[in-house]
This record gives sequence, C-alpha cells and structure tokens, in this order.
Amino acid sequence: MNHSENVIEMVDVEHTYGRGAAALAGVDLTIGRGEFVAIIGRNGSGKTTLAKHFNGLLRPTNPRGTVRLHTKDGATVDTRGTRLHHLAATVGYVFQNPDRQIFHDTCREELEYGPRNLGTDPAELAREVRSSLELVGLEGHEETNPIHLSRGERQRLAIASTLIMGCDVAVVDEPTTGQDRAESRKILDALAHHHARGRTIVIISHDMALVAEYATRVIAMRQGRLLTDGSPAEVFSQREVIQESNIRPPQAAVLAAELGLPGVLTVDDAVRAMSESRTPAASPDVSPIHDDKVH
Amino acid sequence: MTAPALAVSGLSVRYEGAEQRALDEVDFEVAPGEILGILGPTGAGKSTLMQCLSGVIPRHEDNAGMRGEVFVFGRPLSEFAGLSEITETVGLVMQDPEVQLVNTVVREELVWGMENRGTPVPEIERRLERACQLFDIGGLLDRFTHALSGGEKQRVVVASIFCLNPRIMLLDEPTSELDPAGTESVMDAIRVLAGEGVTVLLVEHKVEELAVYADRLLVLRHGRVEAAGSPRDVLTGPTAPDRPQVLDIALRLKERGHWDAEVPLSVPKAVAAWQAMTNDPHSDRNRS
Repeated sequence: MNHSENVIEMVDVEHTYGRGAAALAGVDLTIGRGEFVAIIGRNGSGKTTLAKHFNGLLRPTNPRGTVRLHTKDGATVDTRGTRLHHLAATVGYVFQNPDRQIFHDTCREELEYGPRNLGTDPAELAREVRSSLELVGLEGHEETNPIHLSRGERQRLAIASTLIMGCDVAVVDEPTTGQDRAESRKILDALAHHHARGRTIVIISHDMALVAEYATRVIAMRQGRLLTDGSPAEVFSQREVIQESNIRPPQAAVLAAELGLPGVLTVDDAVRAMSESRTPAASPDVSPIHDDKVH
Repeated sequence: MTAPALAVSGLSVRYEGAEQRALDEVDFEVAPGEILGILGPTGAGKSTLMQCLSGVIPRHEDNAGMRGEVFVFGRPLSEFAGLSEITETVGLVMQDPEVQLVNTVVREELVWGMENRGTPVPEIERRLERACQLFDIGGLLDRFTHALSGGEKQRVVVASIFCLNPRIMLLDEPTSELDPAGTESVMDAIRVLAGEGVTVLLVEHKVEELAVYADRLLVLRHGRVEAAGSPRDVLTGPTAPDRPQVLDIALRLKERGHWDAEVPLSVPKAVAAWQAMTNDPHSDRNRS
C-alpha cells in the first residue's frame, strides 16, 4: 500500500476534558489514503477522543498539537482554523448510536438531506441515493421509514448518509455494538465495499475477530497514547503488549500462537495452518512451519 | 424436585398491528442458580421474552397481546399484586442502560431502590460495598450518571439491580458496550452470584463468553425456541447463530479428519486437545 499519500496527520496532540486527566497524552499519527484502520483499546483508553480529532469534532487542547487534513483537491487544512462543515467534506463521522443522527421519515430523505444542501442536481441525487443504499445492502428501502429498520440497518443507513457526502474518510465509532454476527458482517461488508472503491475507513471496535478480518492496520491505545500500530498480524502477535493492555486477540490467533503456528488471524487461516501441520507434504509452497514448536 | 426458578408455558405475544407473533408458544424452565444464555438473531423475540418474564408485558405494554403464563418459583406472575411485588424477586436490566438510570449521581442510583424498599441502612451499606467490589464501580460512586461512558452505565445498572437482591436476574445484553476485559469481569460477577443461588437469564450475542459462562443455552428464532441444551450441544448444532472461533476451527478440522477429540469451547481446551492429539505416540501422523 502506498503510505506516502496521507489524508490525516496528527502531531503531538493532547486533549484534556475540563480539569480531568488527559484523555489524549501526546499522539503522533498519520493515516494514509485508502487504509482500513481499526482503533482498539479498553473503554476509556482514548479511542473516541482520538477519532473525534480527525474531523474537528474535537481540537487539541495543547497549543503545540496540530491535526491537518489533506483534501482531494490537494489543499492542506488545519482543523483548528477551519469550520466543521468544511472538514466534514473530507472526513465524515458516524456516531456509535445511529439514532442520534437519523432524523427523516424515509431513507431517501435521510440520504438526500446533505447532498441537497450542497446543491446536487436532483436527477443525479436520485441515482446517488439508489447506489448508496445498494452499497450498504439496503436496496429498495428508499421509502422505508428508518423507524421500521433494525438497529443494524439504521447503522448502515447512517454510514450511507455520511458517505453520500463524498467524503474521503469515514470514521465509524463502534459500528457493531449489540449486533448479531450476521448483521455485524453486513455492516463491515458495507464499509469494505466503500474501502474497495478508494475510501479511507477508520473504525473503533472491540470485536477483534472482525478487526482481524477487515482492517489493514490496527492502532492499539492505552491511557491516551498509541500503544502499538501495525498490521493486524503484527499487533496481535505482540503478546506482552496486548496482555498488558487487556486486548483480546481473536481466538483463532490466540490458539495458533499457543500452538506455535505463525501468521494466523482468522478461522480460515487457523484451519489451513493446523491442517498443514498434520499433513506437511500437502503445502510445499507455503513457508515452512517451525517443526520444533509443534509438540 | 424443587420448583424451577422460572417456568414459561405456552407463552405467545403479538404486538398490535404486527402480522407475526413476537413470541410463539415458548416453553422452558430454569433451575435455581442456573445461568441460562439466550441467543438468537436480531428480531427473534429475546427482549420481548425478557419483558414478559419481568411482568413489563402485559402490565406496562398495552399494545402487546400476551397468552400463556410465566411461573416464578411456582407462582403465576399474573397473581402477583403488581410490578413492585414482582421486582422483589425478579430484576431486569434492559438493553439500553440509559432508560434505567434515573438519578444524577451513581451513589444515589445504587441506593435509591433500596431506600424505597425500606432496606435498613447497615444492609444498604453492605450491599453497596459488595456491588462496588463485584462490578468494579467503586471509582464511579461520585460521578454524574449522564457523564458515564456506555460501558460504565451498563456496569452501574447491573449493580443497581444487584442491590435490590433479586433471586432472579434478567440481563438483556448487559455487556454490549463493554470491552472484552470488562465483559469478562461482569461475567465473573454473574458466575459468583449464580454460585450463591441467584438465577440468571442472559441475552447475549457474545457467543465465546456464553460458551464458557452459561450452564445452558436457548436459541430463539422467529419467536420460537429453536434449540435448547448444553452450550456444547447447542453451539455444535446446525441452528447455532454463531460459534466460538475455536469450536468452528475444531468442527472444520474434524470434517477434514484432523480432529478426533471432543470439540472445545475455549482456547485452553482447544490447545490441550490439539497437543494431546499431535503428541499421541500411537498416531502415525506423529512427527517427532
């Protein structure tokens, strides 16, 4: 992946609410265009505070801290001196509870609201609404009242109504809270669709199985700082770090690590690696598994 | 045989205007001190069931037509004088903790119900201390309830129900906003209470936790009981809405002939089983 083209750059960002402890205690972070980033960490570790800095919902409380966005047209804007609606054109934010942002009586009106305010042509708008609904798996729901959608469907509608604004980056705070497995997958698939079309996706999540499967990069936070940052495989293999921060990697990864099988993140990976460890001849093209670690 | 803590018989609910029943002829029993995990896809009727078991339906939901009966320690809920009498035995933690937080400060929230009941002060203090210890909320006592995070609200609400000393706790996704470590600590607390005889019904999507903590599981789908039994039987069965990853892995390895032990429900069990299998000196696959 080309990391040279960045979309968000944070330097030395601190954030303190009121007179409390620092929710962010000095964060340097760069997010590249086209990444699928998962921010993980315990409740209260600063994940949401960090994410809200990406589009100016929060600004650094230390004078030195800066957050810069690189827009599609090549401009660089500092979130501190820029109005929120301007920043939102680059970075859209989907809140944890979709009901805080849905306020129309039909899905169509919900999706039309933002683009219409920007003066989008009505014919084009109808087309965009249709394709937005399709991309999040809600095709045919133009005239449905969001009240009659399930919570997961409303979450997908909120994602669509953010992304229809044409923003480059979607930040989605805990998209699968309280969802069953099938619905969680639909939500992540909707984000993956947008990611495949060039969007940068940032999610906050406690669901490590989904993080391992969908994210290209994992940022783990602890007490307002970045604890570690890397590919899912790199982050979930740092056993001391994740234990110390109470992060629970997916069971497939933990199991494989216990058995000394490297590079396993998902159930599919584990089934493959464990099968191969019992029939090594069947897999000449994969890197050899360390025999000495298989008891 | 002692009476079950809860018995549900022919329970059906149809909401006004709805074509389908939200619950359709549901029957099951829960023994005292048992942890029953309830799972099922969104819209299966899980929350409706919890509302029936706590008497909210039909007493406070006038658009829900209910048939059948719920027995609490052998006594029909319809014979209880009112919700206040039901809550002496049955405590409900609703899916959205916000609707249940009525006080401005956490300490008041915890003490409020006990004071309304006329609980003696030393007993209030004892339970408050226990609640703080079980649910790790000692540091939150002087916080404003509106300023708590979602996960903190959930722990406070579960603790406030615990303070009412119910013999049956109905918990509707009590850990949805908690991180994995926080989830585990609430589950540990639930297990401690069950060990003391509290009966727990736990609606939960987190199947890896249910597999380890629940004594029995019940799967609801389209308002019906689709499966019920031990976690191993239910999660191995074809109707499981989700499976712990290690169970999934073992089942798929079994299909390929690479797993010939009992299928595991937790990572340590999976590790032990795999090591025993691959260490077997009589196995011709042994690679040492």
